[in-house]
Amino acid sequence: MKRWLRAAFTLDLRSLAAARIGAGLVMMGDALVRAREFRLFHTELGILPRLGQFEMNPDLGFPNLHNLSDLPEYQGLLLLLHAFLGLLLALGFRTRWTTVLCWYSQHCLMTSNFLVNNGGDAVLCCHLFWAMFLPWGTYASLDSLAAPKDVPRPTSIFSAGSVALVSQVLLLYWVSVWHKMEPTWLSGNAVYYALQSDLYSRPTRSLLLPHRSLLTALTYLTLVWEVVGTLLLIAPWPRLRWLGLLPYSFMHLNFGYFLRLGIFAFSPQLNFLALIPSTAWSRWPDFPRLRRWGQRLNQRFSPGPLWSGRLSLEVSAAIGSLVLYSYMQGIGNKNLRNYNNPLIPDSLDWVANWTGLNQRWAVFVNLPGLMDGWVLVEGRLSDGSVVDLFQERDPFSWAKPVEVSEKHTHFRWPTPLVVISGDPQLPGWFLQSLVWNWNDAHPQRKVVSARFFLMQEPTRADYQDSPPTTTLVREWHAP
Amino acid sequence: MVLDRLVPEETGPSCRAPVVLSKDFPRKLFLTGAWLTIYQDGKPLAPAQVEKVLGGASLGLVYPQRHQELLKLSQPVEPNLFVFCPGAMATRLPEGYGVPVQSNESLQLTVQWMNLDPYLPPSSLEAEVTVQVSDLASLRSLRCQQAAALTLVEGRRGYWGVSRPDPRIHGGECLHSPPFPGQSPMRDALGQQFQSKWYTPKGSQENPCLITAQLPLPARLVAIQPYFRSGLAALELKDLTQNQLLWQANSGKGLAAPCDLFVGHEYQLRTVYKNPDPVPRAALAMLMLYLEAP
Repeated sequence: MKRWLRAAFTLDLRSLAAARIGAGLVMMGDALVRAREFRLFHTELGILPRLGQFEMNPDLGFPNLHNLSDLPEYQGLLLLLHAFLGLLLALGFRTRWTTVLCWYSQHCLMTSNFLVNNGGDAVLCCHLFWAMFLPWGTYASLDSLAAPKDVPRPTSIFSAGSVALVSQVLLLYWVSVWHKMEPTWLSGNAVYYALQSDLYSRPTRSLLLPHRSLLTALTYLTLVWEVVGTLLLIAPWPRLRWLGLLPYSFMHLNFGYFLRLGIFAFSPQLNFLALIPSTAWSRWPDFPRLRRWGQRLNQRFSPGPLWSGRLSLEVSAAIGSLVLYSYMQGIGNKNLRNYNNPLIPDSLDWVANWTGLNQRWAVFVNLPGLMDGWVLVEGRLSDGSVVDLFQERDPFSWAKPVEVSEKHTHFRWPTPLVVISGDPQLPGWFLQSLVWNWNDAHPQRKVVSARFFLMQEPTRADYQDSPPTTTLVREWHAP
Repeated sequence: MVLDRLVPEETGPSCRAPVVLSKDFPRKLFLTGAWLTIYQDGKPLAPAQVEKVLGGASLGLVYPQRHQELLKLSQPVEPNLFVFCPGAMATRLPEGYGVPVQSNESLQLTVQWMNLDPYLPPSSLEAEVTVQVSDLASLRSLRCQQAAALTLVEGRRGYWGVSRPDPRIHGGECLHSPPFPGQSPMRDALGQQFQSKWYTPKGSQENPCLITAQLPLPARLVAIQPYFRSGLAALELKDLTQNQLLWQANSGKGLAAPCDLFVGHEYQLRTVYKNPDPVPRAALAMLMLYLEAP
């Protein structure tokens, strides 16, 4: 049993290197994609300005560099720095400290505008946090290229850090199943509702939607797989582990194929990369030219010796406590309407806020209760024409945009739209930011007044049609 | 619905129930027929008994505008698809025709009850509608159009929207009647007010009504389903221009063959009610026309 447990929680360092490179690339890609809606998501002219952030989330207290200023230049610099840190992480330059900075940057980015967060961001943040306690720069890194060739390097690690990272993977799926113990999933309807959700579903849903029994089977298969398949992920036998890794990876890619989830299709893959069994790396290539180039580069920056990954007893105990905290947080947060976790006292909420270990893996639960529909922002312009300020449809049209999710300029829009439409304060900032955005792009056709409409088209059981209802959320008039 | 008291015609309680055509992935279907069965305490009622408890019923669209959007129809649609009344409890469209709907559309059955039998013991009544559907793409689409007999409530001449009526062209004028309680009048372009319900006194009463303005001309008339109250003696659809009887209720058969309705022709719905009682009876007459675009 002891051997089995040790094998289950041991990570191959070459697999960790693959995960590190993946994490760096995901960070860079994310920064690039965020730049597309940079103004609306990250600046003072956006949907949640800095003052609004303080007002909406006053208890956070996390020392966030993003909150020092929301000037576009400053926020742009931080986003650029985020991408650069991702590059350094992928290259494995001074990996240990780079990892710390990457985690901090990721956590800062997430807390700077909580409206636009996606489950994939949280997965990445947790992954980076635990990776701070792992020597994932031992292979395929600039650090490793600088190390003397004759010094033997370990190929695997078993430590509090590896236990924590593997536990995080288990926690992600088991807590997710725990949250899924609700009528939509238990009745086999969850995939049906998820694919019917206009805010997320992609046109490819038409491949699955007509097959009702397949949707029911996929719902139950997901539930069973997230329990049983997760055990396969930590199987000590390589072939069995592959049987867990490949379907899991396929499952997340499929999520991304049928639903517009952005980073959520990719960041969980980092966990699977880290869990690749050692047998996959039986032939670890040596690139002499690359090594020489790395050594030359390292002579200039003197990275220092490779970190062995050894942790002191105190640090290991602290990691163990955080793993326990994470489980209690994941299990105790089941009641989505009540943020009070019965398993953790309020006085310890700061731990999750400061570490980014938010383990609320309620992915696609209570789907019939979620907002389903689309948003229209009717803007009346100075030249008398009417346009849609959100979809940028000129002229304005009441017709349903098809497909709704694909018409959003960013995969991150659904979450803010759901939150904004249900909040008394946020619609004002949302409208104002869209007006500024339009006026800057079209100085000859300024917005005179704007109206924010919520078109709700809730999904009904058994494919029954539900005509959309129109709700006027907020109006804006030029001063 | 439980009936435990006397409920006169037109004042009875009405019930609505959703009708689900299919629980499968939405597709286009054609409704080719529908019939209504009334159950009293779980047993089907004979036609003579149905007359005593059923005011009327209809199977219709909950969201007609949505129907128009889903089927990409250019013209507004009537909410009702099928109507039922004692004496006309079933509609079967001719072979090869159907009313198109999306299989997941919201339909509802509306039933109005009455009780003219003072000795009827409290009884539980249920209405069951059976809808015949087909998914054959080769079926020809029909649209539903109601045409009702009207009476003049306020105005000079009983011709809807005709400023200079000529009895040789427009036929006889419709009945003049006092306002029917609970029904709001309809106003034509000349400001005259009409209603689709009236009271018939003892004896026989004829109501010739010009219905040309209610028809989307030109069109091909494929089937007719009448909707009326008890005491109906005659119900006829006439082409006044050609002096041709197109259809007659209770003649034992529907339309012999689809017939064309032309622009420039005048059409009349002639209704005759017979009331043997000294107490005036509520009357109405309406045709559900199933039309094909020419």
